[in-house]
Amino acid sequence: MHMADALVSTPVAAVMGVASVGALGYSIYKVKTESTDFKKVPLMGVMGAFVFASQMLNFTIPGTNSSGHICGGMLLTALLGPYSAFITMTVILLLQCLIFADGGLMALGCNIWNMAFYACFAGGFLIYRPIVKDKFSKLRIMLASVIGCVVTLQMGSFSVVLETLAAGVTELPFSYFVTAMQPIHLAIGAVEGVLTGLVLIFVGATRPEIINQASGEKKRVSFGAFLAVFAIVTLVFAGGVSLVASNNPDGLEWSIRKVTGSEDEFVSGKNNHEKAADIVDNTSIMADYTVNDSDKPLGTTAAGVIGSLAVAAVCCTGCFIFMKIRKKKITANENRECN
Amino acid sequence: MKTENAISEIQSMERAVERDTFIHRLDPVTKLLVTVAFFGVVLSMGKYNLGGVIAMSVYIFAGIAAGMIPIRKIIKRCIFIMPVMLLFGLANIIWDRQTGIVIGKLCISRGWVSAMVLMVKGMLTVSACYILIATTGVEGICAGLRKIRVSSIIVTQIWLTYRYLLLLVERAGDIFNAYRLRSPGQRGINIKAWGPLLGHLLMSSIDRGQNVYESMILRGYRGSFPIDTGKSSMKSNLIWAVAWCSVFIAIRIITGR
Repeated sequence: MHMADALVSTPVAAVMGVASVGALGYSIYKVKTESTDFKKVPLMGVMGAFVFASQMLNFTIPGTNSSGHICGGMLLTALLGPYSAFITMTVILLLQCLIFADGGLMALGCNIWNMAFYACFAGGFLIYRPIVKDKFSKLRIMLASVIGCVVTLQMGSFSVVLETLAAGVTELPFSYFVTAMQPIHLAIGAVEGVLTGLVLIFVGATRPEIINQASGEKKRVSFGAFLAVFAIVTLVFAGGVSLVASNNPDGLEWSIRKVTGSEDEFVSGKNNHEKAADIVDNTSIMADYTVNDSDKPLGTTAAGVIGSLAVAAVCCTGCFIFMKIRKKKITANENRECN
Repeated sequence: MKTENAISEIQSMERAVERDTFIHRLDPVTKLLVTVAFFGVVLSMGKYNLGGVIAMSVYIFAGIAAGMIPIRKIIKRCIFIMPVMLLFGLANIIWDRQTGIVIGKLCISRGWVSAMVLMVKGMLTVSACYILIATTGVEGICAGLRKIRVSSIIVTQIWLTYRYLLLLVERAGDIFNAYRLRSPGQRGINIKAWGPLLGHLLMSSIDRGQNVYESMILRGYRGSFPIDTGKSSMKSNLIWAVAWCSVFIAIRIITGR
């Protein structure tokens, strides 16, 4: 699933790079603030090398004449916790790119997002921890590993499709690309999940303290952390994924075209509708989701990012005003009760 | 075998780093910046700009010549990424059939042009990456990252992972060899052995990490390593960076999108 440099464009590489660096910065901050000693740093280094080494071992897939290997994201998340696992996976991907030409340097942001972000954060916080819940049982660990690997690999492979199409380097239709990518990664995810589960069960049975130590990272996700992750995801979708948004008419336009033959002829003559449309066209800052009528990908990216920031600003202001009013009302009620 | 290939790859890269040429003596940050500029320009080239991407290969040839890089290694890496590039290139040939270039009576479709651009881009980026690592080395990259104030956690991670890599890959190779000798004719490792086999490797790795941590603490480790950031001539670094960035910009302007 490693993306080569030739499969990304400069805007896609930049957007994904910023998103991945943001997640990496937050992970470093969490590891620095939550670790009381430096014990974890050498362990992370050894675990990174372990994932590398284990990828060299091929495992026979029963019922087929093929073999597969472990990817490591979910295993590291289970053993080190999401933040440390994310840092370790980032380093693994960087070294894979530099030493073995597996993935590109400019595509590193995409690869970190596709293989480390989903496995460590989506897999760790939303799948592994809610299922395992600090209770070591073979069923829970196997279930969490398989679901985690399958879901995060599906997310990662779907992101590969979106990023490659957003880069505009291939004429491969979306439907063909998705059909080629998703089923194969479903099988890979299932095999990797079983492999991860078996290793964790073995370690949990022979050296349970290793699994227990792994749950040392704080489990509560703060509202600020949630907002930060949500903001990064929004920016990635607004800035990068918006590039592959369909140019076909939306549902309403399609219906109008079906009824009248053309969406433009629905409003005929110089009437109020047309005048209103002219005003909107002339005054809109980012008409047709581009900046200054630009048809370049950067225009769409900028429009997506600016639009998201504007919506976030309006929502935040609205929430702030609402909370102020609510606070005033509560204080007034408390004062009335005191009197 | 995979492990043997990995070990030979790392060893050949370390041999390439030991050479003493003009590029090897440059500051890692300069080489990193020039490589990023090269990537930026190559990736910004349009999908039909065949002339532009071919012109950018001047950096690769200059890098190979000046850094005495083994060309066989670069070709091997290019072959490694070719199947993916061919797959995407084939899609362009099938779905993009408009006329792109006309040479006499020969019409080349836009799909063929974009497929060639994709493959050349792939080869250029892989080669540039190898030139960077073969003339700088992982230690040099770590020193460069420390100079540009990248977090010590990341730099220490890169350094430690790289140091342990050879050790654990060798160990994984030994495990696989032992398994293969006991189960002749079997492809890969049987499902029954998946957990114990990797589990043992994992536990010995964790123990090794613990021992190393204790040794490091005894030698005054406080969270980061002192990495030698080295010294190189400011003038030669500046000339190298400015000259190549000017060439890249000139090619980009002349060949357009």
